[in-house]
Amino acid sequence: MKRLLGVGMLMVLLAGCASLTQPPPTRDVQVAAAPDAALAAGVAVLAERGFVIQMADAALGRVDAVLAWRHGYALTLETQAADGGTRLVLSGRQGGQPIDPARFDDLLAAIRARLETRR
Amino acid sequence: MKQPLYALMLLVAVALGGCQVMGADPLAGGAGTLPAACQWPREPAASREAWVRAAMAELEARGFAIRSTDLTLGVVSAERTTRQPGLGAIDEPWIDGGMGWGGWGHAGGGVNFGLGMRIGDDPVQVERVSLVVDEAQVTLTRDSRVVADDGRIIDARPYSRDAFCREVSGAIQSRLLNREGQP
Repeated sequence: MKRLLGVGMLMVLLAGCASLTQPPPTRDVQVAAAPDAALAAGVAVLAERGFVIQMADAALGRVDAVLAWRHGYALTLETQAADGGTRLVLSGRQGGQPIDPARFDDLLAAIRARLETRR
Repeated sequence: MKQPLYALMLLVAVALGGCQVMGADPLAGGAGTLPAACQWPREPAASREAWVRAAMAELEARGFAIRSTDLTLGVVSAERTTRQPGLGAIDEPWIDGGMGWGGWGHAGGGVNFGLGMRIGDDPVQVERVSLVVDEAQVTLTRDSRVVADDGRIIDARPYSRDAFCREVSGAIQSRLLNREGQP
């Protein structure tokens, strides 16, 4: 009985190790534009802020951007079809730790503003 | 009495001024704008594909390896690693590896030659660049990390420099001009 309890405790303790790294929390914004145009605006704003685009795929609707820093940035921008436009979903890590989604607001606002001026 | 206090405050302000640059948040657009040379108007005569092809050829000529491209978005991503001989010496003692004939097994993989000379474990600089060919303009960004032979990152920073952008943009434009009658 005691051994069973010990094994049970060990399993509970190790359960935390089994989970893969959780995806970082996301922030999204809805824009009235086609997915390609929305993604292009996202790429343009990221590049203007100095980010290096590491991977971009319009067909997948996904862009990965990085920036070396004391704690390096790694961001992922994805598009999802939404009624009447596109939803842009942004998430990322800094130095391996998930970034607080509230910090994305300025970047998403800049992408939306860029799409509105272009129209 | 107040004068020394003001002087001290000024000194502290100046000393901490350097920290502000690194403390800025690129997510909030606070990292400062790109150098002017890193963003230039796109030659309208050449198609996006021609731009991407010329950029790939130019980056490869400079020793970069192309990592990813997308024609719809007009993006080229590339990476270059350069050995930095001698940089590893900065945080190592000059006299290394003990006395006389000794000096085995220090810092893995290096071969010791007497006093302070080691071969085989230079730090490596990894530069990542991306070129975005937009409807109206082209943007070039770069960052840099210097990694020691044990995987430790010695230095990491945005690296979009004016001189580099000027060289690369000029070279790509001349490649586009020298094409032979392709669209």
